[in-house]
Amino acid sequence: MSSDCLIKLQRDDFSMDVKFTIPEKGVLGIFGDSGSGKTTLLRCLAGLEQDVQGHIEVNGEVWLDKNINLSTQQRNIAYVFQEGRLFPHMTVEKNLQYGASRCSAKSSGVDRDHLFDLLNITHLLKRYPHQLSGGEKQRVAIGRALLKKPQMLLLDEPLASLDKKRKQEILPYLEILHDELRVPMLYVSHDFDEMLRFCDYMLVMDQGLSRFSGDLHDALVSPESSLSTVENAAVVLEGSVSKQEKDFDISTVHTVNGNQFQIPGLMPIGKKVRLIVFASDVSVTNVKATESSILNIIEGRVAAVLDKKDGRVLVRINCKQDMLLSLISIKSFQLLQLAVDKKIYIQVKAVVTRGN
Amino acid sequence: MFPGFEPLLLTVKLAGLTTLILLVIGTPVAWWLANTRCKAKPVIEAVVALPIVLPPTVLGFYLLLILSPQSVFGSWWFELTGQTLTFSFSGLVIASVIYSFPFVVQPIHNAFESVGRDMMEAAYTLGAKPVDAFFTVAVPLAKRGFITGAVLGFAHTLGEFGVVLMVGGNIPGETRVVSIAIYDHVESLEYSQAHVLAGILLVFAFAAMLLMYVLNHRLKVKL
Repeated sequence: MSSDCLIKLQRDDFSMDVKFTIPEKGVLGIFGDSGSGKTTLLRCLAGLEQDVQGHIEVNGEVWLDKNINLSTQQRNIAYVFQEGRLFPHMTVEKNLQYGASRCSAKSSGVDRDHLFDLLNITHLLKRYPHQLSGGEKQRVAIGRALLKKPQMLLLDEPLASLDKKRKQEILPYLEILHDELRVPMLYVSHDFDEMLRFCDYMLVMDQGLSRFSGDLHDALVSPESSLSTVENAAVVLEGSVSKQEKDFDISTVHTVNGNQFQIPGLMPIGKKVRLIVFASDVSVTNVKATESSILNIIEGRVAAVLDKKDGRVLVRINCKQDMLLSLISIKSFQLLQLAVDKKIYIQVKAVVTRGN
Repeated sequence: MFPGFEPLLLTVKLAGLTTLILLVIGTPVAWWLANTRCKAKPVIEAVVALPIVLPPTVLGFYLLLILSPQSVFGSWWFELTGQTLTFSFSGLVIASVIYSFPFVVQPIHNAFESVGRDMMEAAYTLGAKPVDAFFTVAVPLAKRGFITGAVLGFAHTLGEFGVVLMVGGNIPGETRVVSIAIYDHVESLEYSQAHVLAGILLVFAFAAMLLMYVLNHRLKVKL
């Protein structure tokens, strides 16, 4: 059952009015610049802010309405803070038990040992938080949140305080969670790449208002979401591995709409993967190049011109219902005489994959 | 037992009881001060801090008026217990609680402030109710404040003189605490007795401070 939220907040220096739906499962990314109200929105949902108005209904249970305002303890959420907020006076094990021992649900929901294995924290149980690295702290914080068996997991920029190396260390764990969790996750971030990797739905915030709310694929190619700009543009395609060529150490991925991408590295056949294609890695030709180092050449039609800036143009291309974006120079756009509905070929130089 | 030690026992009893009462009533006040957004907070803070700067005789004078059987509080107490508060041990305890109040409340208040809302919020999101979170998160994280408050409250009550003289007088076994006894001995030129008591108080005060700093260092919560 999905959950509906309308959150209104009035402060001296900030106001918020956002309506959105939390899906039954999967990750809802809350994206926006700092100061757009992402974290405040999450805090409102968790009952950590005062004087919130609106309506929050989760799985048929009303959390907030005119005469109802459940406390944080009564809302079955778990919250992972940017800084982890592990209790410094307790061992990792005690931290992990804190939420678990206070939740009413039966212990069948989450398998403790399996979760510790997933997050790779079993060896940290006897340590204190100050003995952990930043990445380890966040993994423990995520484990602590999940052991509470929440109806909803709220993550507030859990990677923002980590350096690039630590981020890479924790990303895979979040990806596994994405696939194993049966409850929705709300993921606040201002990092475009993180959004591309984890999210299934997007809520784009701007100055306390919702700019776009909906499916990730739509968000990435619609002008309203402001995610498809010359500076920042990519699409996400879902597919599965259909072929392996051991001699060349390369795999073929079929998207849901029937396009094929060849991707270096061997992946098991049938494996579901998410392909992330940045607009800057996609070029356009009028005729199909036959002798090219680029393997992924796909036929498509120009669907729209989304953004123009600094001599470059962002073009949306429809390839058998898969929407791709290409960032090319305005000069090439003119030379190729591109126009909406014109048949073209795109060459995809690089694809980032994320195994599901 | 050597009769000279009677004031010593009385003093320890007074300081111990005062500290215990202060921990019980000072903790909620400290918590309120650390968390309130009430506009009257500075006023309350100033009132709490008053005994630090007020001359003990001034404090003692007003306490004498409030505790006397002619006052509302004093007569109410008399009806309730059949005893007067002035020149009694009970009155001395009440006076000491007020006199040492800031020395217990301020360290605990500061400790609660440094714990901050963040950790409490984390506890709430994990399902802990406010009282539960208070005892499992706020108090353990503020334990250094509690130790400092308890030691300071105890030590400060030990050294009380002016207030005791004003409201308690000098009744052996009832209100004659060490500092008064030392004063008496010196007045009567009994320097050797004064030496013993003063020496004990000095060692005791030093031990208390040492204990506080050692514990503070040991119990530092690493972040």
